[in-house]
Amino acid sequence: MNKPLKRLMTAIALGWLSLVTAHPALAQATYPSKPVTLVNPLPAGGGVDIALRGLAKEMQPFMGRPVLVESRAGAGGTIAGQYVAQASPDGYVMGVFQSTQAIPEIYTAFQKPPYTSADIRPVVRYMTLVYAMPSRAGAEWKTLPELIEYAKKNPNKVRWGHTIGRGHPLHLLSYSLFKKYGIKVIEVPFKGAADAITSLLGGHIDVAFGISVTAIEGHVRAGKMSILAIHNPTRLASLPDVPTFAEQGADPGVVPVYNTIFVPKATPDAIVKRIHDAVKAALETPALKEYAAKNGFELYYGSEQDALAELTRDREVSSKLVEALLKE
Amino acid sequence: MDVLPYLLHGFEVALRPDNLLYCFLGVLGGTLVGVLPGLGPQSAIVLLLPGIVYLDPVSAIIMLAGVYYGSMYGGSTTSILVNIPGEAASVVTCIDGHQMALQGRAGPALGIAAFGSFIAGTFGIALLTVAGAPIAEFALRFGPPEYFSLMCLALIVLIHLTGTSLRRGLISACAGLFLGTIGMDLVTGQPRFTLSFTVLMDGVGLIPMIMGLYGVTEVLLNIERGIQRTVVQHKIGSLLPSRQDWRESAAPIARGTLLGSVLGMLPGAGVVLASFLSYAVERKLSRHPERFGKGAIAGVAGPESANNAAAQCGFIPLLTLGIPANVATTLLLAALVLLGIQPSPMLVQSHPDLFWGTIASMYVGNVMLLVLNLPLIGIWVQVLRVPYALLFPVILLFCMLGVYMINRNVIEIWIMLGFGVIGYIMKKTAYEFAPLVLAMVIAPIFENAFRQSLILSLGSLSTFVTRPISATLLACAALLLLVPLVPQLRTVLGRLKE
Repeated sequence: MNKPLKRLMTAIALGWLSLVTAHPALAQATYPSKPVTLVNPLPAGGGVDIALRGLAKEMQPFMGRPVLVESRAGAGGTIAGQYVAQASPDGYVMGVFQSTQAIPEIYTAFQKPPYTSADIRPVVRYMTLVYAMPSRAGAEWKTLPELIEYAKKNPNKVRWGHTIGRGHPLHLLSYSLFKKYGIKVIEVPFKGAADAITSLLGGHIDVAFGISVTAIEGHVRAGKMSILAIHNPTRLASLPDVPTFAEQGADPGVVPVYNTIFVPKATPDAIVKRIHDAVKAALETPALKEYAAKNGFELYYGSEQDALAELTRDREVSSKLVEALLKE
Repeated sequence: MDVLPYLLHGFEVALRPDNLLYCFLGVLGGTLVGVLPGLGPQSAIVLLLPGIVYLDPVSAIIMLAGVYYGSMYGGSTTSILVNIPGEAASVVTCIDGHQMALQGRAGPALGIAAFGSFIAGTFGIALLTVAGAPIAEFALRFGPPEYFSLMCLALIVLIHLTGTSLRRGLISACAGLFLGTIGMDLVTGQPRFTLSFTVLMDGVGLIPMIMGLYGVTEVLLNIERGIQRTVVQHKIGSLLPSRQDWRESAAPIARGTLLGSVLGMLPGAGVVLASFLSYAVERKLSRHPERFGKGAIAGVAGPESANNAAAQCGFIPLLTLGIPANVATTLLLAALVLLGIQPSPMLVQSHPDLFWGTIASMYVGNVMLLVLNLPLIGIWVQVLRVPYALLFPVILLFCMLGVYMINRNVIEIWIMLGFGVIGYIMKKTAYEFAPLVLAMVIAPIFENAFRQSLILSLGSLSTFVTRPISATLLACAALLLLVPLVPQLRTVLGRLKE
């Protein structure tokens, strides 16, 4: 090989190398250069899906690129969690996760999750989907304290529906109430909220927990069921008469459901900041506020630090409950 | 009943030019996703959800509803033509529908499927119109014990789905029951038979399984036959059902319609069950049960009517109570929420335009579907002339696409391909798919309802016989089981007397 050719080869090699090494910086500078995706870990058409569609629409102008919502349901959200944890850390795939996907390692009671919270990084809190405890119409109790009193006096009488399997966050709330007040109820598991709602309407169960407010608001207005409590720090503007758990002195002590945006752990700070800023800006738009009020979720801004603090608190409380549950 | 003025008002809404257009787009789109194997109404509705927020709520629901019931029309097309169900509810249509096509009677098969669907669909809407609310209230009385007894009845009927060999049929059914137990145990939360695969936590998906067993297997078998279609050589024959066909189909259509209506209005029972049970019932009641599996038109007419009636009646709990009956109506519910309408029993009062407009549009849509589908038959049968070498990659592609689109999970495509191989082995060893599929649909409902019932009754089995609906269903099941024994019993008694 002669000298000039060798030199040319070196130049090409060096140029190529510099391009490769410069690539992340290049990517960051131009991010986003294509549509970004919000991954919904729960089935399409559910409360989270509806909430995300609102965010996607309002976030789009601040991202400058289309924001898509993609449902990757399965295994209670673990499949979506794994998908995001293993996605390339370039900010184009983000998950909107609840406790089960955010700290999967504490819900290991039955199956080892394929990733842990160390593989993902919270970016910004988005909202809390408000869950309610509905009671069938014509029940012997009108409020949550009355229900607890009734359950204490009549063990194994109240038929209590769960919308999800044992050991999941929504089940842990009910479980912590049972433990706290030492009450015994008939626990009936259902596959999802729709089945539980149907059973409540048919009078086959008395109360249920783990149903989003939106799904039952219409039934409540029609007088077919009542809501004993909602799991939120404050009352909802749409249902001013419905009290929270805490104000009735029956705080189950678990962290209210949060929906926080996560990206793969190795995502560069600049991209994380870009997403954070876009979501924050979207949260301040009147359009999103109105959308949230109409669809039964509460906008709930929080920085990465806020989200991390919340995760720590959730981890403490929930892991203790899971341990206690496993000992039973 | 003073529904007439309301209904007329509904027609006023439904017949507005823009709503007519959306209704047509909906049923056309529905027919298309129904025809494409693997691609079901769920995927189509999910795709449309982001767009509908820009529409008037009435138009949006008219269109989405059209997609759903339209897909029930299209589903039978590929079942009949290429032996691959367009979607889950058309699985049984493959058995006799494709045999008819092989005999050059694809036209009458498609025709009777379209007419049966039209009759059943219209009956379903009529039910919704005159008695929606009381029916929905009645359906609510179905608690876990009732579902258990209903599934018992379905399991007994399942026996009649077994073809020539009862033993093979039962083995197939048991395999289906086993497959139905895979996934997270509802009561304890423990994973069962998941082999640590996260994707199996929710159980084996019905769509990947069906597309594997029917779609992939069919492709494999055809490739083996040297990529030569027997059908092409046959002349296609008349396109419409003959008078004789009508005579044989009238009763099955009526029974299928009734069966489908009942099962459709029960949340959770669904369209798949309706079509399977209708097929089993028709085979049982037929004077020529030996013709089933060899191109009996009753085996097309019954199930196709049943799945349409069930799809249509699925709107009863949705529109009158605001509770979904199946996955597709769950998505329609989400659409309502997205459009700012709270699903509830008050829908009739609070949004009369939407309620009556949607119902009226269904009458219109069903007529459109009939008009749309009859001329299409002539075009569809031409598909049989396409060389299989060109057809099978397209079929495989759509199967994969359809399965992927459900959860966007590649592993489910592998599951589908795995079932393709299993299906191939089953075909080679003369095992049938139908009992397997139906058993897998029944198993989880059966098991969960049984355990929920016993939890509610504090472990007392009497709950199944003390509740009137449950007891009636169980009595029917017992009768079905015992009736075939009567002649034998009689001969035994006769001998004893001698």
